[in-house]
Amino acid sequence: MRLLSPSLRRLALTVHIVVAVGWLGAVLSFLALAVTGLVGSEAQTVRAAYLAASVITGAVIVPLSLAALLSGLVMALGTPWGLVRHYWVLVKFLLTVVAVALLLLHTQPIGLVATVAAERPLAPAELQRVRIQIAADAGAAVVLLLTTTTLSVYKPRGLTPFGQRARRRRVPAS
Amino acid sequence: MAPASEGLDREPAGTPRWVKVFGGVVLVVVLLIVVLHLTGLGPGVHAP
Repeated sequence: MRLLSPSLRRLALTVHIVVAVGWLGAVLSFLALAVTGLVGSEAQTVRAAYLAASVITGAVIVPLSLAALLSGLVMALGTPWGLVRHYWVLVKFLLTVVAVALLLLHTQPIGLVATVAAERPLAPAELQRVRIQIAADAGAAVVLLLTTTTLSVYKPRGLTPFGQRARRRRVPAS
Repeated sequence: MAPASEGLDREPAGTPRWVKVFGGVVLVVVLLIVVLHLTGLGPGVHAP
């Protein structure tokens, strides 16, 4: 892939930061709703929490996660960093792929609880394991996204074997 | 913000320690999840 021009690179970086940080914010909101749904004592609050969580998932979290993955790929392939040259880029990419895959898989239990909540109030112990899973997944997603954000800011050093070979080709030993 | 290409040519060779530590943490977490699933203690249920 051809490298991006400096102005396009700034634009792509801005988009990537906005969608990635937006994704983290949306997942934090989702976590608050999932915990409210799990421990809430008022039936209406619990129903509202799961309905809102379902809307946030479909309208915000899934689109932002896909946009973060896509814009991250553009940033990696369109700049000298590359996708597999530096460990921090590779680790961040793999974590993002895992996060998107798990998110897409876990829209099913969220939809299930939201469908029940839309029909009637949930009993405190009803769908308990699925509700615990939803909250636990959201907590794990927050940790994962904080990790990718930290990697992006600190950019810890380290070339992959591919990156080392590419560097040797670019700068031959004298 | 630092330029995106900063440090590109000053990378040390070999696998850095942070990658090894990170890999170890990921391995422990994955093993923990597998054990929880196998023992039936983990949530890991998608539908009733």
